[in-house]
Amino acid sequence: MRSIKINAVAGGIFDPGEYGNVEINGIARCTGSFSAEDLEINGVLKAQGAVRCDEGEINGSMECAGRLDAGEMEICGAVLAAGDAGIETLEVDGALTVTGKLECSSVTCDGAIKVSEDMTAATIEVDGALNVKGGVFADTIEVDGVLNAGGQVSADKVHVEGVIAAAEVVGDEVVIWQQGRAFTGLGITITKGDKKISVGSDSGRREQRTSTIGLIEATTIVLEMVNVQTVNGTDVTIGPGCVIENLDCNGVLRIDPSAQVHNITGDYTIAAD
Amino acid sequence: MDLISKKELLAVTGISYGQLYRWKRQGLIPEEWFIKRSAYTGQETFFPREQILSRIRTIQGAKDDYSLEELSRLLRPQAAPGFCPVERLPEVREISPALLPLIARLCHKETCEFYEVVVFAAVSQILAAGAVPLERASDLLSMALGAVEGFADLSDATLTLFREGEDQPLHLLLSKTAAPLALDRGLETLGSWDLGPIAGTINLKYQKGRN
Repeated sequence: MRSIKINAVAGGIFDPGEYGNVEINGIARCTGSFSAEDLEINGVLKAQGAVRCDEGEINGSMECAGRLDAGEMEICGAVLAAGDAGIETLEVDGALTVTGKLECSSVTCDGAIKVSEDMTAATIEVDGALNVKGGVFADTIEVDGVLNAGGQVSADKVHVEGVIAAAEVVGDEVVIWQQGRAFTGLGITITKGDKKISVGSDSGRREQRTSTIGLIEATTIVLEMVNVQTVNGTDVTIGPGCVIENLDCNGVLRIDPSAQVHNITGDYTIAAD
Repeated sequence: MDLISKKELLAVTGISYGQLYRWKRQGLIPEEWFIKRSAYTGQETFFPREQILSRIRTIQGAKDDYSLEELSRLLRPQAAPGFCPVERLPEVREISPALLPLIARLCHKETCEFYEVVVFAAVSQILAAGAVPLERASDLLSMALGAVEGFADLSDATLTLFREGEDQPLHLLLSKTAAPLALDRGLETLGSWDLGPIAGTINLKYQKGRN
């Protein structure tokens, strides 16, 4: 299989097709769609079609006019996919923009990801910023940075230690709290089967940031510094800094005295602790 | 349409929010069944009562035997060619034995497609409900097969029967399950039958034997 290496400062043009290794150190353009086993871009690549690779390392910038598919992709530079993207294992330390939907197995975002439609993955870890205009669907979502979603965020486990803004956050376990904030009255450990969720153990201090969500609905909910219109859950803990318009709980309910909850309904018991 | 609120659904079935949303993500519960309505608390979600209760019973009954991915595939059957040999139709208990001679006259082929088996089972239910007499079953089968063929998603399809009056020809409408129907007063509705539960049951019971 052909391999290609372009070091040209300008004008490096290659044909669409299948390649072994594609390495771009200068400025290059592909006149259509291409696939590669290994793709390494340290310069600039503009593909006038779809791009597919088994492994990709983007340290420079890449723009593709069609769909982007990859087995593994590490982005330290910038990638723009003008279409849908399907990347099995995605690591973004730079910036990724997808104008369609993004489907992955595992996503680690230390940089910035922008998705214009829905995003689906098994696991999502965000230490940087994830902006999705549609919904975010996963098994687990862990956010230490910022997650903005225009639609529904749905996962078995949503753990946010940063900031989240979304129309809806739903799933089995939703925990949103402020890492590093010194707690005064909410040192909580919730036991669920053999799992423990500890909240409020960090003694450092950070600037407080408020998350804003329309609806939170989950079996177990733990919140701190969150503005929510409606919270529906089985076991619900409302911590300091929360402003909740409507709360429906049908299990055990804890509310920090400093939290504001306007309407409470459901068949709940107030936690004894 | 008879609806059930999300809160009542969880109470009646004993499932959790986590299960409900996990099954939705897996495609076991169609997005269209989540019907949002205004409420004094902002918005509340309702479901078509019969369909969601039937679907949750199916999932609860089968989830120990199948993974959620397998269940999703079985409950959203694709148009795999050649679902059931005609000679094995008598083994499909959802098909009325009274229909078998009519089916043999209509289907001059060796194997039936999945949608055809679903139609045979649905027409069996219509006959059992007494909505249509057996002597009109042949017409009904032809109409239903024509309407259902090519319908993209049988798991979200409802078949409604109506006529202008007694002794008038039967007509049949196939629509998405949650879609509201408004018929003029001159039409008499004989009943509605959801194909989703029938398709899910047939696929779950008889697909396994094919693999």
